[in-house]
Amino acid sequence: MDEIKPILSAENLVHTYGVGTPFEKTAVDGVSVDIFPNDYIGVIGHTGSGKSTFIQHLNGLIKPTGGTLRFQGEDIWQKGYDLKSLRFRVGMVFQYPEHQLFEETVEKDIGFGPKNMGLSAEEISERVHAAAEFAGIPEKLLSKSPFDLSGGQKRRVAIAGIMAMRPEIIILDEPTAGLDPKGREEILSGIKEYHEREHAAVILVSHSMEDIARNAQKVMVMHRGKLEMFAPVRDVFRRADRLREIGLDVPQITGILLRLKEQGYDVDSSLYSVDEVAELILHMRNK
Amino acid sequence: MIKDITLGQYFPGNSLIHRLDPRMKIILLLLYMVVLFMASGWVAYLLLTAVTVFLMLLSRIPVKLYLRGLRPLLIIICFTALLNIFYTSGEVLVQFWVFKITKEGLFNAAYMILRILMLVIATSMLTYTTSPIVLTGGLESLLSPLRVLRIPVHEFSMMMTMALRFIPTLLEETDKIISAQKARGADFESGNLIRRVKALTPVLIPLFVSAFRRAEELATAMECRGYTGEGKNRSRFVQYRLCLRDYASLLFVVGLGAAVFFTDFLPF
Repeated sequence: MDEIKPILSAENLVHTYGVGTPFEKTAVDGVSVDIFPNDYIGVIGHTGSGKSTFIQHLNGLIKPTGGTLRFQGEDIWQKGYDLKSLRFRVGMVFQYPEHQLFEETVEKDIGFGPKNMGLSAEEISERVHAAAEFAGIPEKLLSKSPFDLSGGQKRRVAIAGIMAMRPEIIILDEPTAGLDPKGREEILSGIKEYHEREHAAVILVSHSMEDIARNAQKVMVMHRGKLEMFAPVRDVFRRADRLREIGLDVPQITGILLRLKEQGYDVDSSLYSVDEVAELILHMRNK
Repeated sequence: MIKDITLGQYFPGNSLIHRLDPRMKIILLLLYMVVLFMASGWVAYLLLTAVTVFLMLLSRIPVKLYLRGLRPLLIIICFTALLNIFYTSGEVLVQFWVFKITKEGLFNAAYMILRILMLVIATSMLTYTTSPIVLTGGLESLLSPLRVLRIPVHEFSMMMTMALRFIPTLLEETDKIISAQKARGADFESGNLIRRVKALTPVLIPLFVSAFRRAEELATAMECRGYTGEGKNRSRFVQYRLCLRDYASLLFVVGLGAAVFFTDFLPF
């Protein structure tokens, strides 16, 4: 079997802000991570743990002050590397992405990325419609002004704007912040669909342990700029004590299991899906 | 990035100068400028230079920062110095072609350089040691007599405070929008001027939208808390009160002025 190569790999990445000023601060401190095609990685960490700074390195928006970042084996900061086309392949959805909308119509706004890629009009139109479908934007909204939409719709338009570039990796910084449960679900299922259909890697930064538990395969835990853990979801949420120590938490469902364990029940606390746990509890009751 | 620009620079600290009443600081700066322009003769300049250096040390702001503030003025300083060297008549020291360098010219040039340096240093000292909010508060209090002339002093100072408050916020926002559009392949660096200006549309539109949104939210939030502009009974949370150090510093600057004035009568 062929060895699968990482699509993106960070090696001992360091980023220090304001070098030589009184405000000097190391936001990312020696992070090494390999990201493979088809990965769905959740990133969690307390506010100010360096998550946002870290992910902005991944498409070359900020230059690391130390360490290297390779995309398909090539150092992206070597001389002559085409950063612009890297950004089409590593799509980045910022926090509150709806604040970046500017075009007259939703269709044009989603098409901004593909247009910058220099694609033909038909290709752009095809991609815009496909991306709108992923993001759950009804056809009739495409001709509207993005400023007339609701908050949740705007958010989806902004995410579609990235998906339309068909990136091989899509990075999302808290895409569900400030949305209602239905809005969250719609966005997360759109991302999942993109992940599955396009075989793209997804990196999802979130404060919601539930969202991470339900969607991600692996979790990166950042703490004070360092990579505290990087493991499959199950293994990360098993370490509830450490997570709580660094100001994070486990999904509610894991919390319930831990409480059961404290009460002396013999349960496997590494389960994290509601269905699994429901089955377990029913099973215990019937015993 | 844009964040590195420090606007209306303020460097928090706890020196004697930081703690002075902002109103007194503004008045002292004005007085100090008057004294600077009164000065004539090397004794006065020596005295003023010594005092300025003393104040710089007292403010506990790194001297490097003061020097950085002077850098943009380098050309003006050199230019004035040259003009003074060549266009002052008096005892000729060197002469070549149509140029004459006089002893008086050299002195004048030196005085002029010192005067500009001290002027800039004193002004930067005010902004370095006073936060913008406190500065506008002090300014409002000093200008409040103008209310008699129906000038809306309070509204102006509130506008200024808010503008200053939102400079860093908008800079940060600009930074974020630029990054977001770059992530979609926007190109701000290549092409001719017209192309580059056009390339800014995806930044400017979201920026305006967010500025207006913020303004509206802020206005609503202020109204919710009962803000109606200058009312008769509007009081302030921070009450400025002059204390010993303020009077002492006033005395110091007035004393300095008197000393500079009397150097004129010295026999040398």
